[in-house]
Amino acid sequence: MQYLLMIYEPEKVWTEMTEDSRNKMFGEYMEFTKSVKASGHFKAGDALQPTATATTVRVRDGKTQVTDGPFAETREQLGGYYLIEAANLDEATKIAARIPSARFGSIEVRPIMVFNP
Amino acid sequence: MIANAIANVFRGERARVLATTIRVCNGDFELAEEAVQDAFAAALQRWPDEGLPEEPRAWLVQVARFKAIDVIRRRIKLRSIVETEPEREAPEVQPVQDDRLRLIFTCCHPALAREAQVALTLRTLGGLTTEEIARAFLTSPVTMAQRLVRAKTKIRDAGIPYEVPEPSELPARLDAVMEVVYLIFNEGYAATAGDAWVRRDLCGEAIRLGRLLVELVDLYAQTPAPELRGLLALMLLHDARRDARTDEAGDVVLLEDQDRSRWNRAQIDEALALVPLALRGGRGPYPVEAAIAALHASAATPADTDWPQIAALFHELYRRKPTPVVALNRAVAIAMWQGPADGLALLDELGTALEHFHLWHAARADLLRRLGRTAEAAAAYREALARAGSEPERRFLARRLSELASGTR
Amino acid sequence: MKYVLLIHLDESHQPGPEVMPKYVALADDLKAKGQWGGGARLQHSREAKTLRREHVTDGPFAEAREQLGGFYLVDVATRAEAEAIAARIPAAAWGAVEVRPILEFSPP
Repeated sequence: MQYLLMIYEPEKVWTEMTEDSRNKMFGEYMEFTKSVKASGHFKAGDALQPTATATTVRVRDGKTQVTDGPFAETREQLGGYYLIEAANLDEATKIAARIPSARFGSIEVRPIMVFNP
Repeated sequence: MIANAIANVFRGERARVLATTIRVCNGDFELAEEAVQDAFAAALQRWPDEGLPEEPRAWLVQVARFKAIDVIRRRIKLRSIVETEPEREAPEVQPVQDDRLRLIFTCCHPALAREAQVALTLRTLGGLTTEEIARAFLTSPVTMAQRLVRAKTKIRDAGIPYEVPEPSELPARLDAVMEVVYLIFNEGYAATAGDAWVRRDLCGEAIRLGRLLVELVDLYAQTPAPELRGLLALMLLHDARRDARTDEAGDVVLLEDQDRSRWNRAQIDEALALVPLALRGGRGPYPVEAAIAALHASAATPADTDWPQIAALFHELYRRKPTPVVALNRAVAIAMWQGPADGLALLDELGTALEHFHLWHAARADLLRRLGRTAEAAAAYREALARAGSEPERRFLARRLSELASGTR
Repeated sequence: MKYVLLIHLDESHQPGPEVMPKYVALADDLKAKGQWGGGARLQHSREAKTLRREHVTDGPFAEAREQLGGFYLVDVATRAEAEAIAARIPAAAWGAVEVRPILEFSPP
């Protein structure tokens, strides 16, 4: 099964970090990514720019409306994701727990929909 | 005669047959339930003529397996027409540990909401019908049925494995299972609403699950599970006092006023044998709570209660479970042992954390009464009364208050 | 530049059968133009579970009326292009699509 691991964390954690801790976190992320690639679990993954860079698009009555800002203002924001292949939810959860941000943020684990043609 | 025997087999073996069938069905609860129902229907048709098979459970599992495989085959065939996927064989069935263990760990998986865990455990491992569970938890059968369907869908779609957790994860996962079992017990024991007989059933189910867990986990882990023995002993001890806890009017009877001849001796003896095993190596709260309950149960009269040991056990319990409520109980035990003045001093220290809790006020009221500080005691009873939740508790506190006013206590 | 298009929608909304082919056409078009970076549709948020400081809870991260239903990853020259693609996602007509640039790491 495939699972999307969504990383929610207060954005200010990153901006308020010292340069040293930020580099350390990046290092941990790189380690983690390397390890899930090596184990064959990794399908995709990205870090997102802060929500300040977000735009939200809606189409109503055929007209496109573009508004500045994220879809919703929340205490913790989506900061990145991993798409992984795992045998079951327990395996996916174990991988999610290894994401460095799991220590201060939250990781939502959602199974991916599989379409039967 | 045969009808009775069949009914007994169904009651006794349903959970086990279902647990194995779910494994055969690759964790598909819906499919397994359907297959088991079909198997029972087949038994109902054939056993009255052919007599009970030598091993009824094996017979039922076998028939349920065939029914399930039929459905799986049909599904695969349909899919293979679309996908031209190579036909997968139905899963091999190898003899493993009791499947009921997989079942309970799956039902109590942390990815399920607590209420779903409880409902699913009662429905699959317990013998309760959806209607009975709904009645016990004061919801409609429709709501309960939806809750069960949602839980089963989540198990399937989120990929919750039908597995007993690895030994390294067993303690944490077992904690969750024990919480569910104890919740079921407490719902039956302490609930203030709902059908009396359904609630009694819940206590019975929880104790049955406790016994089953002790047996299965011992076998799986190859070592006795002390924590579980603590939980089982605790439930047995509480349940043994059930009949003496209320009077004919349904009013609360305090431990010290209970008619101890109405306690269930056999159940107490079973629990007393478990407590030393539980304390040996059990690091969580249940063994200590069971030991405290055991000391109460062993006292022939309230005056014989071993308060110094109970106070010491509450110290230990507080170390394992540092909650204000445990501290409250510890203060009461110390008051019983060293006198109300000491207890009251301890209680007053807890005031900031427990002001909103009616039992804190009730405990203070009782100690103030024992110290002869009648006016303060009455004020504390009134505070307790203003916060008490259940009707029997309110009646009890009101009675105490009026006794205080008339000088009978 | 890479953007992720996050599709937020009311999960109780059941789109009609005409929607699926539109999704397929959109993906085919993005692939043909070399703008496709990946994407997935998520299962219902009630299938989610959230780890909070390594503590697992049932359910999605946030209890909102609208939930993340899927995402696209696109590789385009400008933000305007990303927004134009977002507007072509069928769910933009009943939900909302959030456009967020991906953090590109320059190799050290």
